[in-house]
Amino acid sequence: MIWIKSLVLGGWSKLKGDIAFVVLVIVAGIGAWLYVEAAHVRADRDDLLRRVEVICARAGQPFEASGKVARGVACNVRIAGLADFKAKTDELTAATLAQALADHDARQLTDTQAARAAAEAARSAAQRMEIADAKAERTNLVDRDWFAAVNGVAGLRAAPAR
Amino acid sequence: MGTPPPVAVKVKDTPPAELLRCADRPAGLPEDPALVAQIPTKIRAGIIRLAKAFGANAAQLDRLIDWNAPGSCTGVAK
Repeated sequence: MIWIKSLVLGGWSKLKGDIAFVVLVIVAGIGAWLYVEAAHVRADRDDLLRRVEVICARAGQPFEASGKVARGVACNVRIAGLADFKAKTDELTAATLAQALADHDARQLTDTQAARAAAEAARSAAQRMEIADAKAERTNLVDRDWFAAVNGVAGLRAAPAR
Repeated sequence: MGTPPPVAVKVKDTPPAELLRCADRPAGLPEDPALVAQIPTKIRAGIIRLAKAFGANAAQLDRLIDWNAPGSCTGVAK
């Protein structure tokens, strides 16, 4: 252990003479480190700037400042507008499609009811027609009942008596 | 992202007014107790066929128009 102590103390006493040089070395080291860091930061910044410019160009609004508007502001507004446009369009599209579906269902329901009513009326009218026609089968003589049955199957009112 | 959803727009494609007229239903045969006719079976069958077809076509036309313009012909039939 003694020898480590003497080495350190000896080194220290030797260094004491060159203290200015030691400080210089340390400062130079820190300077070099800062320089490298700054280079990294610059490269990073340039890369980001390039990407931002590409993104803004894609959105159709340059990133550069124009007039009194700071750089990036117009581009930001544009991109926000695009995102908003997409969201609103999606929403309205969904609403329109849903409404169309609901309308179709309502129509289908109304028509099904109308079709059923028409079919029922036609069936009962056809039955009455058959009965009235069976009565005329033998004599070929038709009267009020037969005419009424014909009006029934045609869905017509009687002609006014003159 | 995937495929973008289609942008749907409601299109109001109304047929010409002429096509939206409800079925014409004139007065039918007179139902006068005094009127009696002698009609051969074949002619009677023909009259019945025509009357049935008229009724079915008119009902179908009204349904079609109601499909396009809901409520326009409801209650006109019968």
